[in-house]
Formats: sequence, structure tokens, C-alpha cells
Amino acid sequence: MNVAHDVIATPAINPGPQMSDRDFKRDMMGHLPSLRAFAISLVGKVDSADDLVQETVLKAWANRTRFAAGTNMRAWLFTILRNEFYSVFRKRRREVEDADGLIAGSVAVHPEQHGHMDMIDTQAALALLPVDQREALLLVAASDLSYEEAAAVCGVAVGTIKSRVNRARVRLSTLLQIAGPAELGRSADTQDIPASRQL
Amino acid sequence: MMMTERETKRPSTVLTKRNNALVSKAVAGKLKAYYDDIASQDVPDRFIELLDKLDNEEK
Repeated sequence: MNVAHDVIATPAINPGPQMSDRDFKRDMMGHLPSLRAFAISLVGKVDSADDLVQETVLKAWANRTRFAAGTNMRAWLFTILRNEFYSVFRKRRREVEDADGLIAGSVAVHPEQHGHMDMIDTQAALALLPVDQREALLLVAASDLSYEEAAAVCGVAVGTIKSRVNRARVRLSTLLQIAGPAELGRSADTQDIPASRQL
Repeated sequence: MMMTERETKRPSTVLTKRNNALVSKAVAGKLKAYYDDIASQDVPDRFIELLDKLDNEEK
């Protein structure tokens, strides 16, 4: 895997073989759906997520000569998007945390209304995860990156990613109230709820 | 050897482990369904237009 965490910040000394603009553009278009899915599930709002995707497209294009052909473009794009998320979006951190707090508060105040696991949908449950756990879970369990790739994207050790994913899974199962086999049978028929309804 | 290990485990531990695996699977399934639903949506035209524009600017 050749995904440097600081792929944008550090000038590439040996960028390796380069792609033509046409190939770069074509491959990038192919990755847009999963890039967008990562952004939306990370940010929680489609509009903000699309702004983030747009910034990522611009940045990736401007830095396309630093992308080495044959390496993992999806992980490379995820890295740029994640860096962008932290540098731009997290400046509005207070705002984001206040929103998280509001959701958490409403859940805490009305526990009796959440007796069924479908009451808190996946998007809302994700929003309640700490952001480091959320991104780790999304990269590994949703985007199908390997632990190694996810570690490279986040710039942390593989073990750190594994523990974040595990904690996120436990927390998410609690939030979704998947308690055990009795509930599991029901989870199967709730899986096709369109995400559009949740967003 | 493995059988011996299994037999010495208390049934509750085995059940908990099995339960955890099922829960993990259910969480993963729900998350994947949610995520794949977004990933299967059409990408807004603005991104395609943006890439076309960037590509044309270079020429």
C-alpha cells in the first residue's frame, strides 16, 4: 500500500509513474459514488458532504501528478477527503458537537420511545459515535478498506484502527438496540430502509 | 485439544461469544445496507461537470 497520510502536505520526491489526465479523470469518476457515500455518512448532511466532495475533487485534480499510477486511488481520495474534513469542517466543531449533543439529549430524555431498534436509524446512530470511531468503522465495515488501508488513510497504527472499529461496533449495536438473537431476526427486514428517508 | 478447550468453557461464555458474533454481523449488515444505498445513488451532475471543466482548462 502506498498511501501516504500527508499525501498533500509533503511534496512527492518520487511520484512514480503518472496517469494521463483522461485516465485520471475516468478513474476518479468511478470512485465518486463511494467517495460521496463516505462523505455523507461521515458528515451526516448531504449538502455539507457534497461540498466536501467538491473540495476533494478540486484538491485531487490539483495534485494529480503526485498520484502514482497503480496505487490505490480510492484510499488516496479518502485520505484527501478526510484531511479536508478535519481542516475545514472541524473548524465548525462547536456547531457539530452541539448538534451531536442535541441528538444525544433527545435520546436520553425519551428512552421509552426507543424500545424498538428501528427508532434510531443508522444515520442518527452514526452521528452519536465519536468521530474517530465513526470514520474507522465506515472505512473498514462499510467501504471495505483493509485495516492497513484504513490505518494509512487515518495516519494511525493498525491496532488503533482495530480497537476503534471494535468500540464503534459495540456502541452502534447498543444505539441500534441489537441486543441478541431475538432482535436479530427483525434486523433482516429493516435493512432495506432507503437512506434517503434517513437523511 | 480444541474440544477440551471448548468443553472447559462455561456454556454462558460460549453463548455470549456466539451472541457477540451475531450482533457484530447484524450491525455490519445494517451499516452496509445504509452505506450501499447511498453509494448506489446517482452522483450529482455538478461533479461530472466540475471534472470536465478541470480537464478542459488544462487543454
